[in-house]
Order: sequence, then structure tokens, then C-alpha cells
Amino acid sequence: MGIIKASKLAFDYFKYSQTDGEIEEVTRAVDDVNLDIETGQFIAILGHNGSGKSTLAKHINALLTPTEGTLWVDSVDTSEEGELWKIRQKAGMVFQNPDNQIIGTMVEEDVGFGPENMGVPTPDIWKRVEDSLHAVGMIAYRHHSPNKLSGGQKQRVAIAGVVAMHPKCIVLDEPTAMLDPNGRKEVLQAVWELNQKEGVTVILITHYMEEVIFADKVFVMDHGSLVMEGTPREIFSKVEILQNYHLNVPQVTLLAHELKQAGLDIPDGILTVDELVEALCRLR
Amino acid sequence: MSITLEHVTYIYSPETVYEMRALTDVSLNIPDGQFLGIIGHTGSGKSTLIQQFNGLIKPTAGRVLYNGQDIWAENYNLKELRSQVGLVFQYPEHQLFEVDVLSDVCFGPKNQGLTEEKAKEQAVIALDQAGLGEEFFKKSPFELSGGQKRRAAIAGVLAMNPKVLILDEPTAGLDPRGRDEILSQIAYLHKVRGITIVLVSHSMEDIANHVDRIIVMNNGKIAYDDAPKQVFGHYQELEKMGLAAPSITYIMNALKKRGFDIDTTATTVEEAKETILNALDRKVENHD
Repeated sequence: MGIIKASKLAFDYFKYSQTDGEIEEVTRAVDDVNLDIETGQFIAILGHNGSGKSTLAKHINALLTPTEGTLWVDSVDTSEEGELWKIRQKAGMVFQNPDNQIIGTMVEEDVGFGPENMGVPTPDIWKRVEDSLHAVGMIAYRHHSPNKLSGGQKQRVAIAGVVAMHPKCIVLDEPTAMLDPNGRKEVLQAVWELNQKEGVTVILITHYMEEVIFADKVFVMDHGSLVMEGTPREIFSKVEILQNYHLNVPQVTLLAHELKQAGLDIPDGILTVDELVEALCRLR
Repeated sequence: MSITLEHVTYIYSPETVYEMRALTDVSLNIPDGQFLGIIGHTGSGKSTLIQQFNGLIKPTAGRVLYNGQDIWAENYNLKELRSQVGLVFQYPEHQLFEVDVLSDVCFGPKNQGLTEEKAKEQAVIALDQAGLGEEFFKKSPFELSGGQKRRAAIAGVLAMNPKVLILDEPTAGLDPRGRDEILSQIAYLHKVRGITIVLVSHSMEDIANHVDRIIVMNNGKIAYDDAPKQVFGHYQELEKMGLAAPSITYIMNALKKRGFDIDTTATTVEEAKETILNALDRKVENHD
């Protein structure tokens, strides 16, 4: 079994009547999801707004528990109430808005909050704070006030806060949606290094197609179900299918696809500028 | 008829320890009917700049003119200015508060002193132009999807019949389809209403596809003010400012470096496709 495994996972949101408290409407946000994620993988989840990505993600650290089916994090069933804190320590979560996640008045205090809460002895907390700030490239800011940082820096502090809890897995729910291009690059770089150097399993939810081309595996969600699963190259070679799911492909991939449709001999699923340039040079 | 800034400087909390210079000697003119894009990294002064356009903040030095009149002159009607220059903030859907979509959109025009009936009339037009049909009027704003909420919020500003519509990152946090929808809706508004649009965005692709002119802000100053093709030609300088050109620009420049005899100014997939096909055809002809 991988670090995260879902079997027939389903989740319903209930809308209650304001007058008598009866259930008025049931919305199935996640529907019959089966997946198995191996330790150390970099996973990306794509899907349009309302496709169920965030609901699925919230199951991974037990913010939500399944209506039907089961989700295991490192072989622990998330429905077992007694295991809640263990699960949240194994799987950390980073959200979209950095301003909603930072509570400390100084960067290092904020990062130390998690391990302190876990009862880690003080000298070890400082070690963890230092190590995780190093890992995200923010050690120079340890004594700064978080509210003077840029969006990308704040988001890296939020990531360090999760890293300090030594999770096996980090779930990032659109961590770059509110950042400028530079901030986006910084955050992705930090996440990538955690995955490559520390072997942390990463689950990245994003609307930016360019961010997923280095992932080991991409899942596409639609109406609560997993509808596509494969390597970025496999997924992005299906331009029309993705467009049906309200998604698109990186601009480079789209241009390559259009050129191919116009009769040029170019392979499917081109992901980077270099690949396209190489392919075009071969045609000269 | 236009917005003009003359040597505008803006300093936050002047003469305190928190003093921060956000704009330095910015001069520009936005003629009527233009579709203008503003780009710049976080903290470059974009948001401070657009707040000058409708008099939300007063310049520390310099003048802001609307249709030739100084908006900070005595007796100038700022309230009137703000109904003519509409500002849609980031994440405008956080500002939806009424019980249903129609009432929310009516709030602006009612506040302008219009009768219930007239306000409703303008709201219905605005909702229609923002792409929300009658089926949405009685829905709670909380029942809408992200893209729909944002359109409802834009309709709220449109209902006041502004001559200028400023949008601060209108596509942030939306999925690709939502982004395309909002942008085409804005382009459509520009067309049917003929109003001036100022679009602030981090997304170079969004900007490249729609605007007539780009202003690049860096450290509170205007770094570039030109047509998109000219601005993106400076892609290396843009990177130094924490920005980037559309990925298409990189492809075109890389091809040129590899010996393709091509014009590198394409910024959209469509243009790039034409340019590349032409370049390859010409090669074929040369071989014949």
C-alpha cells in the first residue's frame, strides 16, 4: 500500500433547511475515487472550480472524513477519530492565501508553532525551525515579521511551518494562485526541492498547467470523479479531452498541437520550450 | 476626455518610521476607449496607481486630472468621479453581501440616488452583459461558482454605468475556463459599451491576448509604456523585474537563436503558429 490510498471514497455536502433543520439538498462532491499514491511521488491534481479537488485534498489530513469508502494515510484509516493528530502530523496542508495561515509575530515563531504543539522538546524545535527555514530558502528572514514579507515569501514560511512537523506528505491547495510570477517560481522551487531532497510526497492542486509538467503523475477530476490519470506527457497529449473538462494545456503544448494539426510532423505531448524548438529544428 | 496623471508621487505614512514610497513621478494619459494592461510584481505600485485613478487616495505630490479637471481641486465632486470610474478590487466576490444577486447589483445604482425601478433596470442590463441571465437573479451569491460570483461582482460596478472600468486581477484563482470566460466578457464589455478598460494582471498571456497598450510598473515607476509586442520584446529586462513574457515569446526567441529567420514579436498561439508555418514554408520553397 502506498502512502495515500483511497478506496471507493465518496463525500456528500449537506444543505440544511433554515426553518426546520431538515436536510434540503445533498451534493456529492467526491464520487467513487480510487487512488494509490506511492511514497516520494510528486502528484498534481487538476480540475475546474467545483470539480472536487479541494474536497478530496481535505480528506488527506482528515479535515473531512469520507461519507462512504475509506482513505488511508500511511496505512492509518482517517475515519478513526483517535488517530486524528497522528494523521495531521503525517500529512500537512498548505492553503491558497498565505495571510490566512500565518499566526506568529516573527517568522521563526510561526514555523515553531506546529512542532511545539506536538510536544517536541524545545532544543529540537529550534533545530526543526532552522532546518525547515533552510529547506525553503527563508533562513535569512527568521527574525522578520511575517507581514512585511512578499506573498511568495509568506507562502514559503507557511510551507516551512508544515515541514517543521516532519510530515511524510504535503498537500498544497493552489499555493500559487495569489502570487506574481516570481513568487510562483520561488514556491514551486521550494516544493520541488522538498520532494527531491527530503523525499516528501507532494500533492499539488493547481490551475496553472505549466506547474505540473515535472510531476510524476497527474490526476484530473471532474464532477467529483477521477477522470484521467497519467504522466504529464500522457495527459497533455489529449488537448481536446482536457478542454472538455474546462482545462487547457500549457501554451507550448497548445502551439505544438496546433502546428501538428496544420500538418507538421511533431510528436504529441510536448511540454517545454526546448522540446518544441528541437522538434521544429528537425523539420528544417 | 481621459485620465491624466502629472508627476504623481505617493508615499504611505510619510514622516513616520513606516514611510514607504509607492509611486515616484508617474505621468501618463489614458485616452477614452483604450484597453490598457498594467503589469508589475507584487509591491511594484500597481494597486497604488489604480487607486489614484478614481481618487481613493490623494497623491503626495503631482496632479490627477479627469477630463482635464484636477480631481483634488476644491469643490470637485469626487463622488461623481467614483461613479464614472469604477474599480473592481481583487477577489471582488468577497464583497457580495445582499440576499440575492439582483439586490446586490442594485446596491450601487441605488446608492447613486436612482429610483428602485431605474436601478433595477440598469442592474438587469449589467447582469446580462456580465453573462448572468435571469435564472441567477434570485439566487444567493453564495450558491454561485467562483467565476459566477466574480461576474456578479463585476456587474455590481457595471450597473453604475461607469465610463472607465478598472479591474485588479480579475482572473486570480479561477480555473482556465473561468479565466477565459471573464476575459472574453471584459473584451465584450469593451466592445459593446465602448468604455475604457484598465486591466491589472499577473498573467502575461491574459494581457498579451487582449490589450492595446501595456504599462509595466517597477519600484513605483513606469518601466515601459508601449504596445504589447514592443514591451514583450524586452523579455530579459522583464525577468529582472520579477516578471516574464508569455511563453510564446520564449519559443520565438529560441527559434531565432537556432537560425530560424523569423520575426519574434508573436505573443499569442495563433500568431506564433502563422509565423512558424510561414518560416518553414519559405524553407521548403528555398529547397525547391
